[in-house]
Amino acid sequence: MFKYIFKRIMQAIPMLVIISIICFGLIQLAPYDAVDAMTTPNMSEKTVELIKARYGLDQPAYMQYFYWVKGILSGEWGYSIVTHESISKDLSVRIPNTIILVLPAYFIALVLSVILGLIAGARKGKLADKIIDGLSSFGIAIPSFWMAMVLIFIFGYQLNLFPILGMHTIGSEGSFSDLFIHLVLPTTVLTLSFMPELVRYVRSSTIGQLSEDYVMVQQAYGAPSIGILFNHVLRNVLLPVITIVGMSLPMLVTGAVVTETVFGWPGIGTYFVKSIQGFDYPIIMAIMLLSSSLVIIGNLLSDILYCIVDPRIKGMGE
Amino acid sequence: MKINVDKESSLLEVKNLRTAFYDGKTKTEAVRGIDFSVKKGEILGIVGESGSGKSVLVKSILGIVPSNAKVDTGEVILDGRRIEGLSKKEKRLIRGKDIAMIFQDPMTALNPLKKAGDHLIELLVRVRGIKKKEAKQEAIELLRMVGIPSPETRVDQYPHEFSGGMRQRVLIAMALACNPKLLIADEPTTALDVTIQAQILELLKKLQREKDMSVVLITHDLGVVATICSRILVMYAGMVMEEGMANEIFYSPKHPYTKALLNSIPRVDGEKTRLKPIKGSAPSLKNVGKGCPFADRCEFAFDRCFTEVPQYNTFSATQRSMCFLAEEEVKN
Repeated sequence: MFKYIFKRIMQAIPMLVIISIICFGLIQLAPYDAVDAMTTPNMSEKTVELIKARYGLDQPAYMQYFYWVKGILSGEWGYSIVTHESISKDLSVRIPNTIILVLPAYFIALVLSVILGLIAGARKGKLADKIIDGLSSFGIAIPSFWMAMVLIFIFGYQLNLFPILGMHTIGSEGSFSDLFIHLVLPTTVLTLSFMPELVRYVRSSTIGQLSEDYVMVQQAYGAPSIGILFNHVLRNVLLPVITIVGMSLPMLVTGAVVTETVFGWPGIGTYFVKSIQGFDYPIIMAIMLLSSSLVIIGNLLSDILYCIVDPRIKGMGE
Repeated sequence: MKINVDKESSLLEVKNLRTAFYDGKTKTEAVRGIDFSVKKGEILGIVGESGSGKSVLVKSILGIVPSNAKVDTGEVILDGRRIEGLSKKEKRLIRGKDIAMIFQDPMTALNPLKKAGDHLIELLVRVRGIKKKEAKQEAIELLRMVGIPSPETRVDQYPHEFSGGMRQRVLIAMALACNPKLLIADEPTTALDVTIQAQILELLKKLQREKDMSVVLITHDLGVVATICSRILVMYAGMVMEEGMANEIFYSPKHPYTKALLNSIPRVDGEKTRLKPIKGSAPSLKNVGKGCPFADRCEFAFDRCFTEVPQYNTFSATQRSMCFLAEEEVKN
């Protein structure tokens, strides 16, 4: 098993290198000069040259790549053209904000989806399935910004139960209950937007598993259908879900762009949208690098998890 | 409900069983009115081509037909108890406890994410009420009984670590774990190598003797039947064509279909003759005619065969055949 995990990690590294080269190439092609982020128009040419030399920007591209990688690895992600702020500093504030929004939402969506998907799959064609499957189709079709607005209108405006904007009420930044009440609406929107596809996946996977021979064998030995579902089918259904969970890792960064924007949530999403509006290339590139690396890392993690959970893969390479 | 006191020797009785598959409005009858019984301690072979309804027949008895199939009529009496009269839960408890079944494809019959031992332990706890701790020891004993070497380590292995033959042994161990009165083996050797086939059949025979179970062996292989069965049911298109003791079926078959089947297996003794295959293929059950289902392929068929389903002719206390032709008229 460790051999497999080691091999898998070794495969992921060149992928990350390739991604970094592509990202760097795109940065080079982008219509801006990295030094712009650190200079002001009224600096003398000499000063600009000095700054360029200091950051290695006067070197050939391949040398710059190494400087850039070194910077990325040591947390030096460059500066915003617009605000001249350090990107890594901004990210270190923004990413946790997005994570506290996305992570609970994803977790709730996952748990609910497994339950609903199992019910729908086990009762295929019956009323429960029709309701769950029907609502899922509905959910896939509804754009999350629309749902966000409807929720804001009903719960934020008409019933006035929840705040509709931001993360804190001014003045009570440290209060958890204040944060929680701000979280309710965006988390609901995110949960509902994550759920439909997960429900459908679990449902079809359950239907597939229920037609397997081992289920019939268990029936032939008088196992009650609930017992078959939880003792036998559930594990087989959850196994492929691991892949989906792993693949969702980039969502921690880019999973809530629309929702954050609608709710004015100070996370990566709003940061990303703002930087696009301001042609703030260094930030766009940084987020691109981050999310594409997370795709590779997510894949790696799900492979490793798979290997730990699935006895058939565990035995491989031994 | 205790009925049929006079027939104490029969463990299972099936009367007029009909099962059909439904697809929208079309109805495909796979089992068309079957009567048979299984006596205590015997091995009954059910033979027939693929698609003759053998598997559906036994699944109907167990009540595990696929969701698009339905048992329309029929009476199943197990050990003097009518199964239809029982509640859903009681019916479920019959499975495993009274009737256990082994399946055709051992490669897919075990849950790939559960250890071989866990399959057995789950059954021992549920059906026999053994405590989980002791169940593992019992599981090891069962694996030993079905001839799996070093059962102490095998019990903790996953199905993919077993070969096909070994998996079939695990499934047989599952059947034995329940101490059933009747074991149904649905083509238990079809998916296995010939040498393994012989081993599995030998094992079934041995266990049947030791445990004094009744066994129903479903197969399309007459060779398998000849090895271990005492009585044989020949099925075709969801009907019983002929029924009799093994020697009656092999040495004095009455039904043209049985004869055709026997002619189509190679013989190692006697003179070398060309094998005579049965012309045509098994009929589609979607549009069955009025007559004898075998009429289209039967070399002795005459007009009446196509318009009327024949009655059974009884030839001895144990042999009956569904054909218009009397024994003398059917020439070899």
